[in-house]
Amino acid sequence: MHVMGRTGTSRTPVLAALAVAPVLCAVACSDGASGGGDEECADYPGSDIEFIVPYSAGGGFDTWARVIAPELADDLGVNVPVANRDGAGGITGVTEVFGTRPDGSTIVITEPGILATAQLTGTSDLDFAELDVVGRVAVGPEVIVVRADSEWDTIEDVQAAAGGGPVLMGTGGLAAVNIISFDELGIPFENVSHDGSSEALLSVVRGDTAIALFPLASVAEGIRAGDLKPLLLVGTPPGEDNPDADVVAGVPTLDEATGQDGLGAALEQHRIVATAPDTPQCIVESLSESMAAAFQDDGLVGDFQEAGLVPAHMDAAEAQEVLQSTIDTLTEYEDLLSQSFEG
Amino acid sequence: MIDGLSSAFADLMTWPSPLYLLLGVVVGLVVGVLPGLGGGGAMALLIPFTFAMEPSHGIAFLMAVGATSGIGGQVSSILISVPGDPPNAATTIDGFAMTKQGKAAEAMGAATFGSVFGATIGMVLMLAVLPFAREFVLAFSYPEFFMLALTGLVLVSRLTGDSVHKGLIAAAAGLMVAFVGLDPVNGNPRFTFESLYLWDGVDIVPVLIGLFAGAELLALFSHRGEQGLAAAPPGGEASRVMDGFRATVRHWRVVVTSSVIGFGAGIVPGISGTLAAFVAYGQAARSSRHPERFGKGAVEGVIAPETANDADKGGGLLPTLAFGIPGGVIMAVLLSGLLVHGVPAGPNLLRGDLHIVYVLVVAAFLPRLLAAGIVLLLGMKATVLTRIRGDILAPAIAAVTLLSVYALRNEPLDVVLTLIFCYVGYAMERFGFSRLTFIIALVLGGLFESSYHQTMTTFGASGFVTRPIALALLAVAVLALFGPPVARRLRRKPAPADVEVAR
Repeated sequence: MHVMGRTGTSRTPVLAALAVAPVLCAVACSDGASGGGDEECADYPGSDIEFIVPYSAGGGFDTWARVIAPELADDLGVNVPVANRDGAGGITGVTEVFGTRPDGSTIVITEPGILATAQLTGTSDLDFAELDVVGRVAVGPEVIVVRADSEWDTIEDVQAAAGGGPVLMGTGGLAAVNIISFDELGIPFENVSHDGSSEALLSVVRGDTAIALFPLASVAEGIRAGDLKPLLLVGTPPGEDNPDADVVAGVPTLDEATGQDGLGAALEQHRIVATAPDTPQCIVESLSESMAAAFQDDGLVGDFQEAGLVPAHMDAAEAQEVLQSTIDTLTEYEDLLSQSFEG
Repeated sequence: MIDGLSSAFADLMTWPSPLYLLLGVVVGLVVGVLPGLGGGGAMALLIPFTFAMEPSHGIAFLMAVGATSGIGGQVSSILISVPGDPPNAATTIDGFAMTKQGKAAEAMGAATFGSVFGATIGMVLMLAVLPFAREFVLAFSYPEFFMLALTGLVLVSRLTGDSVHKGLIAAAAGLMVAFVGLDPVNGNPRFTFESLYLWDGVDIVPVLIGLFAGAELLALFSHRGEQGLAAAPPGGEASRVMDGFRATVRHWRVVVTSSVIGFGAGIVPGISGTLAAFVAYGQAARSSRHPERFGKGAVEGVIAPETANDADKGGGLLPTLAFGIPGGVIMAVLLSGLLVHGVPAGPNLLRGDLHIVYVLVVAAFLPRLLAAGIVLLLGMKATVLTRIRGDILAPAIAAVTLLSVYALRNEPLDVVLTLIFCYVGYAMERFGFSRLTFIIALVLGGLFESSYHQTMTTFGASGFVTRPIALALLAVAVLALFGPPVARRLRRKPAPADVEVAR
C-alpha cells in the first residue's frame, strides 16, 4: 500500500536530534567523504547494516526488504536486520537514514516520487537528491482504471466527459502521479481519499467513484476478474517476465496520450535502496555490487516471482539518475503540486 | 461443501501440518499475551519465514497465529486488566472484575470457549453468505460505514459510565484525539503542534494501555498488604475453568447474538474486531435481565466481546474472498501471505478451486481449539499471578507494559504518551467518565471522519438517509439515544436510575 499524502517535516522536536547531523558529518566526513578513504572501505562492513523500511510490516516495500536482506547479509558477511519505521507517509524513516553517519551502516528502501513530493510541497526541508542510492530493485507502471461496465472505453471518452465537470477519483491519499497525469490529460478530478488501494478500488467497483490510478500489481486481479477496465498505462509497459503483463496488453500509455516522452517513466513507482548522503563511493559500490549479486542468483529471482515481486534491478549510478530525474520532472510541476496539496 | 470441509480437515491433519498449526498457536498465544503486538503485526513479521514452507503449511501457520492471538490477548485482559490488543479491551471490564472476585479461571474458560464458538459461528455464517458475497459486500458503502461508526459510538456512550451525558462527553473527547494528525481529505496537519510524531495521529495502543493499565496499576501499588489481586483465594480452579465453559453454553443467546454482530462488523475494514467487541458487550448488557451486574463481574460481559471479536474473522473473509479486499489487519496480512504462496485471493479464488477456502475455514477453527486446550492447561497456572502481592506485581507489570509499548515501534514518545494516558485514565475512572467510550471513539474516529467526507463528496448529504441500510442503522442510533428516556416519560413512572453498566 503506498499512501502518499502530504508528508513529513523536519522542524520538529522529534527530529531535533537530526539537527546535529551536519555537525557529525563535518567530523566524520572531513577525512573520507570526498574521495572515499581506503581504510573505511577495507573495513566495510565492520558491523551490522540496519535495513530501514519506512512503512509498517506487510506491504510491498517491507516484503522487498525482507527478501533482499538475507542476500545482502550472506554476501557482506554481517547481519542485516530489517526495521520498520513507518510514519508521515514514508518520510519519517527516510529522514532518519538521511541523518545517520555516512558509513553505509544504515540503508533504506523508498520511492523517488514520494521524496520529490515531500520536498516540493515544503513538507520536508531536506534535499533528498543528496541521498546516495545503492540500487533499484523494482519498477512498476501505474494503470488508470474504471468500472468494467463503465461507458468510458478509452481515455478520450473520459476527456470528453470531463467537460461536464470534474470526475470523482478514488485514491489512497492524493499523490503526485494522480495530480500530474490528470493535469496533463486535461481531466479535472475531485479526490475521494481512502485508506489504501483496495478500498479505493472497491469504491470504483461499487460505482461510488468513477476512476482510479494505482500500480499494476494492485489492479491486475480486479481486471482479470472482470470488475475493472484498464484505460491508460502510466509508465513503461511491463515486460514478459511480469505475470500481470497480459491484463494491460495493448493498453495505450500516458506518453502516447500526451505526446510527452518519458513522463510516464518519471511518474511510475520505482523502489530504490539508498543510504546517507556523502557516503564514501567505495561503500556505495560495495553495497551496489552486493545487491547486483542477489539479482543474478536465479534461485532468488525465482523466489521473487513466487512472492509476486517483479525484479527490475539497476546499479547505483543508474538508480541515482532515476532519483534525480524524478525530482527534476516533478520540480517542473512544483506550482501545480503545492496548489493541489494546499487544498 | 461437507466434502470440501472434510478434505480440508484431512489435509490439515496430515503430518506435518499439525506441527505448523501447533507452532502457529504457540506463537499466536505468546504475541497475544504481550500488550501491543497484535496478531496482524506478528503475521506480517512471520510471512518471510513461510517462504520455504508448502503453501498449505504456510497458510495454516499464519492462520493459526492470527486466530489465536486474540485468545492470548484475553488472558492479560482478564488477569491484569491490560488488553493484549484493542479488540480485547471490552473484555477487561467484567473479566478483571471477575479476577478480583477470585473467578479468573472461570472468566478465562468463558472467554476461550466464547472465542471458539464465535469463530465457528462466524465461519458458518461466512459459508452461508458466500454465494451472495459480492452483493453483500457491495451493499456497504460510505454512508453505511459512517452509520456503523455512529451507531457503535452511540451504543457505547449509552451503556457505559455514570450517565449518558458523561458518556457523550467521553465520546467527544475520544473523537477530538482521533482527529489529531493529517486530515484525510487534503492531508493538512491538524493539532500536531509542529511535531512529526503527531502527524500520523495518536496511536491507539499507547492510549489503550495507558488508560486501562494506568488506573489498575496505581490501585495495585496501593495494595500494600499481603493480598494480591484476588480477594478470595482461588481454589478448585480446574472446575472453575469448566464453569466458564458451562456459562458459555448457558448463555447461548449471548453467544449467537454476539457472533452475528461480530460477523456483520467483520466486513468493515480496519476496525472490525474492536467495534464488534464493544457493540456485542453493549447488546449483551441491554438484553440481560440483570444489566446492573455488568461491570461487576458478569460472565456474559466476558463472553460477548470475546465471541464477537472472533466471529468477525468470518465476516472479514467475505471481502477478502470476493474482491481480494481485506476486512481487517489480519486479513490484509493473510492476503499478502496467500499471494506469496501463489494463491491469488480474490474473485478468481471463488471461481476456481474452493479447496483453499475450506482450508482457511478449518484453519480458523482448529487452532482455536488447540489454543483453548493450552489455555485450559496453563491458564489456571497463570491465575497464580493474581495471588502475588500487589506491590510486587505492579512494578513488574509496569515494566513489561512500557517495554512492549516501546518495542512495538521503537518510539520513545509512545512511552511518554502511555504515561500521560495512565493519569488521564485514572482521572476518568475517578470522575466517572467512561474510558471505554473514549477508546472506542478514538478507534472509530478515522472511519467516522473519512466516511463522512466520502459520503458528502460522492452522494451528498442525502446519502445518509436515502439508503436503506444506512437509514436502518441511523434509526438504531436514534432509538438507542432517545428511546429509553422517551419510553420512561410515556410510562410516567418515577425514573429509575440510569443503568450503570461499567466504566
